[in-house]
Amino acid sequence: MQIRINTDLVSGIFGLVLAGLFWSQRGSVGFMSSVFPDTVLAIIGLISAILVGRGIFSPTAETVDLTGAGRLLITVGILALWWVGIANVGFVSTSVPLFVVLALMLIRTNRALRWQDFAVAIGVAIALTYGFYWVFTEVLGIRPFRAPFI
Amino acid sequence: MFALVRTVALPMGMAISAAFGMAAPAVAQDFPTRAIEYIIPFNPGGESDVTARLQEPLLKEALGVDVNVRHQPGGGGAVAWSEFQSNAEADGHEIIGINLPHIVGQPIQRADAGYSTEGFDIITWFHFTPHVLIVPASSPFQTLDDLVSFATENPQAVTMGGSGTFSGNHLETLRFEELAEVDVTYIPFTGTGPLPAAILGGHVGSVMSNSTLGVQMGDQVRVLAVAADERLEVLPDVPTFKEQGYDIVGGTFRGVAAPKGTPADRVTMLADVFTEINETLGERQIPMGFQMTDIRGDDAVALLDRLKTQYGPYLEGN
Amino acid sequence: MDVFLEAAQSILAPHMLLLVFLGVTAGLFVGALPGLTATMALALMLPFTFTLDALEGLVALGAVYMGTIYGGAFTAILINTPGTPSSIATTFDGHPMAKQGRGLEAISIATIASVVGGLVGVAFLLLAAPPLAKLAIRFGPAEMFWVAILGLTLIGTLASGSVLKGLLGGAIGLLIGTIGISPIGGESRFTLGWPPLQGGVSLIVALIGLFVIPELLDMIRRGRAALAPPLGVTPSRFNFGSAARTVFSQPVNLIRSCGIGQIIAVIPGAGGSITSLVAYNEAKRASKSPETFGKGNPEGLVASESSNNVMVAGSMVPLLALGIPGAPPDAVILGVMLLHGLRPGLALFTESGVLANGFILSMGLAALMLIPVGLLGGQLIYRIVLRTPYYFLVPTILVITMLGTYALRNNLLDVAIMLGLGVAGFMLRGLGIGAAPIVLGLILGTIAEQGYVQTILGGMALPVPQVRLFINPLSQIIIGLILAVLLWSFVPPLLRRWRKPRGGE
Repeated sequence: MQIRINTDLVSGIFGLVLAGLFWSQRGSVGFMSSVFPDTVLAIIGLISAILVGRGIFSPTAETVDLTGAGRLLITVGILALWWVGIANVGFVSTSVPLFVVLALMLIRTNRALRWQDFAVAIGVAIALTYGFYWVFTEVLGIRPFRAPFI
Repeated sequence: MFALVRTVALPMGMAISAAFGMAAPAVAQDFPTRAIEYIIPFNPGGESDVTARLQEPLLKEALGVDVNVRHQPGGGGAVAWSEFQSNAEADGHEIIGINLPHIVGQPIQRADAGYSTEGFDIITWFHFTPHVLIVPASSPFQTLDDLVSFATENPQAVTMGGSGTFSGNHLETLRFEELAEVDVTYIPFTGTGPLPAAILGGHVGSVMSNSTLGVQMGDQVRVLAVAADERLEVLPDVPTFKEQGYDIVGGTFRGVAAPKGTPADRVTMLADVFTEINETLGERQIPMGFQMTDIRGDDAVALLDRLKTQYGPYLEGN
Repeated sequence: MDVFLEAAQSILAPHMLLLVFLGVTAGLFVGALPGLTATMALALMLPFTFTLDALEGLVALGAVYMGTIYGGAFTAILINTPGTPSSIATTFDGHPMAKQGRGLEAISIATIASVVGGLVGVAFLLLAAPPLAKLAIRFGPAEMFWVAILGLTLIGTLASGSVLKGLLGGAIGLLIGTIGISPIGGESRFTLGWPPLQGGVSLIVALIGLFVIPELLDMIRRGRAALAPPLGVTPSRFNFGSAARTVFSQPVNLIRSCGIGQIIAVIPGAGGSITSLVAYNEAKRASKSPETFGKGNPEGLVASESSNNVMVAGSMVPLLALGIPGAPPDAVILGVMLLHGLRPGLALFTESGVLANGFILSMGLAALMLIPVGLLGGQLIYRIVLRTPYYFLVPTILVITMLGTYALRNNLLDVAIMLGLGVAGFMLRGLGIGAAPIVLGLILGTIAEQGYVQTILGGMALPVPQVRLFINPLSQIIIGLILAVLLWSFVPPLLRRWRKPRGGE
């Protein structure tokens, strides 16, 4: 499914919103700390305004391919869950199930799932996740997160 | 398994050595039972990191467990200190490097520092690098008085570089300005790293930095004064600020702390270990410009208060 | 001369060669893993160096450094993610080549270009250290500000697509860079009152977030791997000879890129990312077919990979001559030197000539070592990545990046930022705003801000402090370059459009 978006307009609006958000958070900082951010915010505002103008007056709508959007939304959900899991449950214990879920979802895009897929996915997930985790913590000495489980 | 060995072997060991009249091994009850996490709130390669890495094998030998050094840089240390005060377990197995005047200055100056100066159980401050005032070897200023007279006649013309804003270097510069009644322009740099280039390239007229930099740069610079009570052995020709009439003593202190509420005997035990390894450490570090110290307990609290009084006015003025 | 020979002898000993080989290999893997930087690799090696003597320790560090910078090219080519910031420009042409089935060719070219770059850096260090060092310290705050501006103008030429959107991306990068504690002033900005944000957004986190995650999301969206070659194209086979021929058939490009690499290498604080970007840009401008850049032109790849390896030895010029670290990894090396009681500076060459020369020569050795390591390790990595089905590759890369991002600062917030930036970056890509301008803005923003405010402070005694930005001759030269770049980029298209009506009937 493809949709047409006026990318100039959307980018411009995004820029203005972003600049506005940051501007509202300016707080009260002295000259030395504010001269640069203020300049940058002004630049963003300017460029965004030009983009909005271009978007309205000489629109060149570009098409954006939206196939697979459903998968993307699910993935974003998985990523959020992944982070929460790492922080509160444990790295390996979160990553293995989510790895499997993601892998299976991706296999499914091309063909139907077979039970062998489950087995292989679980095996690979455990091996790779634990493997890299081990390398990072034992070989490289990065100490793990403060989570209850591994 | 190690815990088992320890609970059996140690009391036996202590009994035996007590029987032989030897000093009891440096242990407190059944501590440590697992690896110690030693957090450094700065980047790898920096002075705090190098010191910790030198300490690590010595600590491991003295404590009998692994010591894992890990880095959590960010916000000049504030990110690590705030996370430590919120989350660290107070059983003595987690310790963090602390620096002065950072932990005094940051909570006063920033609303969102996330931690409080008193929120640590300080184990000990193990070394100190006094501030020094450095000019390039080619500078027209031969002595501190030269600089002061020039600065008096030309306000804001003398540039003094240092690491950070409202950091130790900066606060010392402000004190110097007040006591010498001059107006210099302080130029902050992000750390001590860029300072040699700045001074050799003539981008700043002088630098207020730590003694280690003065030692490191050798003949390329001239050290006008050192902010210590007495002259340093490694810089014997450098007069102190006091000798020249300015009561300025200050620098960077480095130490370790445990979370508030850690059992006192474990804190003392760790302090003893750090003091013990300071001897070995000193051999490497004193020639580099460090002064080894052992400031703990009430003295440590007094130090914090002294620095607050010394530097507070400058920080709160913002 | 005898010192030199003695140094050469000492590093050609078998255990030294082994050390170099292991160092380069370890560096290769570290560089290839997104999230692990050269500085981190060296810092991790620090404890090992305590057990070695001074020369061995330095040799090991030099080898790891060389390997890491080279290793960044692998992920840049294969999964469009710079393994280290120095390889950002490698993604521009390296990845399109991989997508066209020319992945091995790209890796071979990157290898040889890196070897050349590494050797050139060593040559400069050996032969021209003192004058280069003097040049290095002339770069003060004002010059750094202008260098950053020069870098930012590159965004205009590099933006593949709308220049305006490229500039918007760059400005967004500048903005992200201001989050945290201000470099001058030490005040919290945009931290929402939340302590962990005092650390701001780290460059590597943004790099991974903006390059890797959108790439993965794209693979997920399309339901297939990025590297599946188009139908009808047989994947290239590794041919050392043809890769060498390709690289050496561009002598001007090579020389220019290495020269740029060395000059920027001596600028304290510039970093490998700027080096490779400037070299890439210059190669594109000088090329006879600039429009093929970004679509798989080996010239761009050669420019990027040769210049960033010059940095390894080249950035040590200020370190060894004056004791000033040129790039962050050098700070670690300086630390090791000081620990062993070595005082960097010209005295080092007279007092410990064997050590100093041995160290420098060992880096040349490390550069040469890239060939066997690249042959073996490179092919291995390539085949692994190619053979792995995308449905396992994507989650694996996610796991690695999460670990790597956490490893940077032992901070879980960084992982969240990476993921968040990734999703945002993906959407921005859809709008036509690429990742490179944003990352460039992030890198250059801090440099520009510091340079600007420090210069203003330095000029407080003047009636108008801003004048100090223009006083130094070096500043003026850089300003001239900026104007030249701007003119070169914008005038020809305007001229063409102006001439067209006349040229017609």
